[in-house]
This record gives sequence, structure tokens and C-alpha cells, in this order.
Amino acid sequence: MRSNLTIPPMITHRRLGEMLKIRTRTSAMTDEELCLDCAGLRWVDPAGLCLLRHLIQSLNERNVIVHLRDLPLEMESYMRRMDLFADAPNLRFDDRTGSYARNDLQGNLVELHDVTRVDDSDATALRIARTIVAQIPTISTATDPDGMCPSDAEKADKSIAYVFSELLDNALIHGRRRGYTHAQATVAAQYFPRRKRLQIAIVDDGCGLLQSLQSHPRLQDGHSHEAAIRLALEPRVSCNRDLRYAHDSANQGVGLTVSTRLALASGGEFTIYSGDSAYNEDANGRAATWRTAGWDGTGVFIEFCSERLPTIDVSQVVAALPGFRQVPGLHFQ
Amino acid sequence: MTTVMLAERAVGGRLLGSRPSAHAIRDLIEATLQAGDQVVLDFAGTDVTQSFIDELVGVLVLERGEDVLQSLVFRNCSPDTQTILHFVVSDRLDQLSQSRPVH
Repeated sequence: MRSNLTIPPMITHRRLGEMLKIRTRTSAMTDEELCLDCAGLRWVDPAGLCLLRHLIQSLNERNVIVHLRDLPLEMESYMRRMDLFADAPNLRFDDRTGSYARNDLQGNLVELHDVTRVDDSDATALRIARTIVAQIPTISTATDPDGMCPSDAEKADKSIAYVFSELLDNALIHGRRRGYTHAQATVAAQYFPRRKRLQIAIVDDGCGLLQSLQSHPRLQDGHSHEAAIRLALEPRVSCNRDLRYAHDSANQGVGLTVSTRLALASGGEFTIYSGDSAYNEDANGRAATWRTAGWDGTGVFIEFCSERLPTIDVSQVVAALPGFRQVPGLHFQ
Repeated sequence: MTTVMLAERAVGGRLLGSRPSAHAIRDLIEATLQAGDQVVLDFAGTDVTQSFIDELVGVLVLERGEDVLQSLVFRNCSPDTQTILHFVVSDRLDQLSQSRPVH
């Protein structure tokens, strides 16, 4: 049996709905053939790539042969450059109109990374941060001759590594609760030189924010995915601030808050989707929510203004969190 | 007094981000405190996240109370690291003062 579906023209953080519908419609398929009409596909951003990666892998695990029909060659070469098709023997490329040619995009993006072990998250975070920041020509790598100050590149990749590390920790620790032990995080990053924007995406297929926060008292009245996303963005919100779970750990519930505020501090924006809802906020205070087809896990898309990356101040963002105060009992040398 | 050079345990000699990366270091600190010794945590050359600091120091505060701070010295902290330490410790002290159960 062969099913036919059409890939939408754009798969981006703001337009994931059509792709999520495809994911929902194919979620029960096993040992079948699926034909995806890709003729209209024109644009995929890091959030879309991560989602496509999860879809392809999920179909591969269920022995679904996927025919990508009329996939434009420039899109194919871009996707290959991003390693979207790695470890996916279920894919077939039908109706090619010419020979495959690789897009020379190596200066602007970082390949997709699948992260399954939390022990690997820091190494992945640092590697991606250094790689993507090195692609931004306007960020200077010149070091202070006296060695007293880090270079702009070091400041920028510190902030990006911070965000990746926190979000990967969230995806791999919280995402794996409640029986989702298989959950993995997929990470992508790309620099867009014309717009001077750096985009990163981290998508996990874990339990999602609503399940993660379902026992939180403030969700009692509004038991919705949208409410869970809004709650997760508030500092000090977590269902295990007190409880110890695996590895004798308890969290504070500020990793997502700080990461998204760092994006806003750069003049950027972020989008979070989980369950049937998505939430977007930008540096001008504009916020929007919308309903979308369901995603069990959590997706985080963050866009930084690359020119302001070296000026992001982690301590300023942390010090602005509610309840912050200097503790006189800390001994610094 | 036992000094722990955190850069030796950091990814790329620099990043201390994930919670699990703090576990072995915290075990070492707890063993040292158990022996009645002070611990110097030397952050020279490292970048830390709030999660790492919470797993390293916040959990100690939750487990041992405010007194544990008298046995800890924080050396060569960047401004970011100092701010994160203040945030983590103040948050966990607030939590203790509100007598929330730890378990």
C-alpha cells in the first residue's frame, strides 16, 4: 500500500502546522510505502529540519519506505549538507530532474546533530557554538593583547553554548520523564548573513511541557498546552524543584527562562511548540500563540541578532530574575 | 583545604553546563566536607550554566543548609559565575526558609 502526501512549500518555526499534520497522519504507518510530493518545497529553517529529521527517523524505525518525489535539487543538496538523510536507508529519491550537486553552504550552517545521551550535551553544545559563531564574519576573533578580555567570538560562543547546554539538558532530562526513555534531541543551527541572524533549534520527542508540568499547582485551572508553555517560560517553575529524581538531582526551573531572555537581549525572538500549541515572542515585546497539529515533545527555536551576540550579558539576565539577591555568605577569592 | 580545579573537568577545558557533569565533582566535595575539610572551587577559565551551579552548589545547600557555605570558597569566578552563584544560593536558601520538603 502506498500513501501520497504533499510537503508544504515552507517548513519553518512559524509554519510547522502542515508538517505536523503529515507527522500525525503517518504516525500509525508500519511496513508501508509513503510518497511525499516535494515539488513545491522552497524553504526549510533549522526548526523545520529538526522536525523533518524526527519524521524520517520515526518512519525508518517503522520500516516505512519514503519516496521523496520531485525534491528540488537545491533543497536536496542543502538537506544532504545538513545530514538530514544520514542513517535513513528507507529514503528513495524519485523523479530527479538532474544529477545531484552539493550546495556550497558550509560557511553558514552546522549539520544536524542527534543527541541521545545527556553526557554528550556539553560537548555538542560547545562544538556547535564554536562552529556556528566562527561562520559570522562580523564577529571579531581578535584577542586582547594583554589577555585580559575575551574576544567578541569567545563572548558570542559562550552565550550560544550556554543556551544549547541548558536546552539540551532540558530536552534529555525532563523530556525523558514519565516513561519517555527513548527521547532524543535533534539540534540544528544556521547563520543567515543577509539578515544578520543566527537561528538555532532544539527539538525533542519526549513527554512535552504539559506532561512535565502536569502536577504543578498553577496548571490546575488551565490544563492546556498553551498554559504549560507560558508557565514553563516563567522563572522558578518546575515540578521537581523539591523532588529528587534520577541521579539525585533537583532543578530550579530557570534554564528555559534565561535562554529565551538571552535571545531577546540580542534583539532576537523565540518560538516554543509543545503539544497542540506554539508561542512566539520577540524583542519588542510582541507575543503570539497559535494552535498547531500535535507534537508530543518540545521544540525550541531561537533567533539571535548576530551583531549583538558579543554584547549579551548572562549576568545581567540572571540578576534580573525575580528574587535575585547577593548572598553575603558566599566567599569569593 | 582541598582545591578543585574545575577547568580540568570541563568540556574543552571550558564549559561546565549540564547537570550530570556536576555529579562527580559534588561527590568529591561531599567526601571532603565529610572529612571536615574546606573546599576551594577554582573556576579559572571556565564558563558555567545555572544548571551546573545548581547541581554542584544548590543541591549542597538543600542537603546541608546554609552552614555549608562556610566550608566553600569560590576562586577565580567571572562576573557571570558570581552572579549565577548568588542566584542559585539565594533561591535555594529561600526554598529552605519556606520549609519546603526536600524529598
